[in-house]
Amino acid sequence: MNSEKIENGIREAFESVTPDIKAELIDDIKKEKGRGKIVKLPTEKKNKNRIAGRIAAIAAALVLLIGAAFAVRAIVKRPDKAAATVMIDVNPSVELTLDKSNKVIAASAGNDDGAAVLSEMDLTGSDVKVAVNAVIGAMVRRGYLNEYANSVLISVESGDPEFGTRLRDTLGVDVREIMGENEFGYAVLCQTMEPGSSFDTMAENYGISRSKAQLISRLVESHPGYSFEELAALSINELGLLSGSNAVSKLRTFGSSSELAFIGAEQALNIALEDAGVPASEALNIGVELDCEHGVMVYEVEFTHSGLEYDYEIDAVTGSVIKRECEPSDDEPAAPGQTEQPGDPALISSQTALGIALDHAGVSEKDARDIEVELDRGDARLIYEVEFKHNGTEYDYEIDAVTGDVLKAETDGEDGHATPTPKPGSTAAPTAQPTQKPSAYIGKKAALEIALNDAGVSASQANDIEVKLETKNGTKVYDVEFKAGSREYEYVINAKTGSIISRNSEPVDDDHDDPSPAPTLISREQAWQIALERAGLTMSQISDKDIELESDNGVQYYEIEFKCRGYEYEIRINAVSGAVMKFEKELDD
Amino acid sequence: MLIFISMAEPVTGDDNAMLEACIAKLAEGDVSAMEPIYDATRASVYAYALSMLKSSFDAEDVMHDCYMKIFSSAKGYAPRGKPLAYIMTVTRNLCLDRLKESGRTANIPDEDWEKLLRVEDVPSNLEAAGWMKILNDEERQIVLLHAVGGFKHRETAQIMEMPLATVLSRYSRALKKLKKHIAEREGEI
Repeated sequence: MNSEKIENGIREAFESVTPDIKAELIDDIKKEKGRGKIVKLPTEKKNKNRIAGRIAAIAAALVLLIGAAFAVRAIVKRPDKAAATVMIDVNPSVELTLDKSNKVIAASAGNDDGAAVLSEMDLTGSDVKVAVNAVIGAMVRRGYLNEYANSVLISVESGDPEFGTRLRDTLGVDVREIMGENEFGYAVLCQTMEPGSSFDTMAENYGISRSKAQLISRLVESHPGYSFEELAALSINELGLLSGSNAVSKLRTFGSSSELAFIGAEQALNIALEDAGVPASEALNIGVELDCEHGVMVYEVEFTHSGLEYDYEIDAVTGSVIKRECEPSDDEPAAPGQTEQPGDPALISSQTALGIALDHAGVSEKDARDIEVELDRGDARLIYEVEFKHNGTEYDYEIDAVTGDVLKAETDGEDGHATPTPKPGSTAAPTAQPTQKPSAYIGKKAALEIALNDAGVSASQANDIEVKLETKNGTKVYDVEFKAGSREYEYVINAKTGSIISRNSEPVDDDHDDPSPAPTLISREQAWQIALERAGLTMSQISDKDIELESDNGVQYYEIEFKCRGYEYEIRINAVSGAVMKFEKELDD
Repeated sequence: MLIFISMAEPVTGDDNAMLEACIAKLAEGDVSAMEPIYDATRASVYAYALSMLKSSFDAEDVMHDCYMKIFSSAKGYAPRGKPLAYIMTVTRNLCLDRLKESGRTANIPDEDWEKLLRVEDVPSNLEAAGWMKILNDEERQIVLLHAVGGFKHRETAQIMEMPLATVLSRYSRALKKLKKHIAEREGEI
């Protein structure tokens, strides 16, 4: 087939699917003209959506209806023509039933606050955006949404998953825009309701809405340390804060929940430092994270100072110290090489190995093609075999998997002759990636790799991975959990030596296995926005910016690094949900 | 569902003159002048929007906004003999706005071209859907601007804000890929 035929085929295909909007268009243009003059359509809001033009009129009509009491307390059976249900949770809980054209056919309240909100208005017949706007407006007026609680949960339920997802996304953008007009910032949490879920009973038992119940179960899923019961007592704003600290699957978040009701991360750190008698300027490896312990919101504060590792829990409201732990961090950091024992080596990650090889070759990762990294047993030591191509040249590296030393560097041009590349002048191993801090511990990645190796499971096979640094019987250990095939594995690994303390595996209960479809990623810009919001900074304040899209065991995330006022920030943003997976702020020295 | 199968040839230089005259009429308030503009460009506008947004819903919206914008800014339009490129630039900017606004990257993985080309309704589109799948975003947009919009590579470079050399190499790479794909498929049969 020649080019012309291909192009004709393509043209025919696209012409056949081009919608005919001529009549509607000419109509709209006439209307536009009828307004007396040719109006520019520059404001985004008008351009955004074709229904936008009609919204103003409906909104005006709504104002007239305010005062008409209309609260449906009972659970309304969904009419047959319903296409979707939208649930809005702040504390008031409101449920809107929509028809196919996104018009509200019924509105009901999930609690007394919701009934109060709905008593102001009759939403039947209005477009969903107008209705949501009105509901949120009323929530702001009545003080449910304010600077201390600025989070809205939007949940969409539909028999047609695609319709539901699209509605969730458009509503998310709409609500963000509505909330953006308030002075107190916003967090919009968006989810779609799982069909046939068991949240109804949970909701009833705890007296919360189904949508909130689903959000809580997802939080519990992503963080097994939480229990449904303790989270059920929290507000949407608090749940929003927790979902910001934990990567929650299938939750899309815009903005960030208000932390104003709490003392704030900075204050929590100061309290912990003061309690420990450590001057702020001397603390290192600082990490502060908002968390929930036994139903109480706390700040988990970690830092190190002169060989000691501190671990605090500070009550997020009162600032009182709930827990303090202090133990010597390893005074003899395991020097590379010493840890090299067959069986339990402290390995660098494959990504680090690749980074070392690329650095050595002077090739950036995005320019390299056909990348292959394989862990292999060389002569008496573990090595990473790294291969990639760039500009017609094949590169072949061997990287010591423990020290990161370049053992072999070969390039293979198109002529097929291998040319050993001379090693760099100094034999020092290239410095590891900035994500790796000098630490006495082997690191979560290495712990995971040890566990995976032991289990005979490749990284790509494992899912639901969780690695936690914990203290057991006075020893720092990594608790590694993952699933592979139909089994669930749990390892406890000595955090210093990397030796396996215990291993356990059992068949997995396959109740909630949900192969999720390929997710849509948030943009880099959005990731920056989330990161900066979390740090409370603006783009113009920061320097040494870097963002990379990375993937770890199937979880795609943006790794963001920047510096500001003597601190180095490392923020990890889930590329699907936008959740902040990691927030680190360290003194830059 | 109305399926429009008229085989309009790609727009030519004559069309450019026609389009410019129509935009001038629009500026004077002659709404009927929109019809020929729409007829001559609707497939190119929709195809380009679809390739950028990968959602028939959003592409249709952008298509509508694009013509509204052409109407509203007709008075300010300065004729430079390239109204078609102008229309595509408007389309592109509207698409970029929309992508930015909804926070989506253009790299939506595994977009379903069978659905976007409505293979269920138009079975003959199956082959073209397969072709779309093997091209990456840039290649697809370049090929579509050429095949559906009838643009010269120089014009494509302008619309997509890319160096001409890049457009040329992407285009030839894309066609190589397509021909290889077709040869392999034929070999299978």
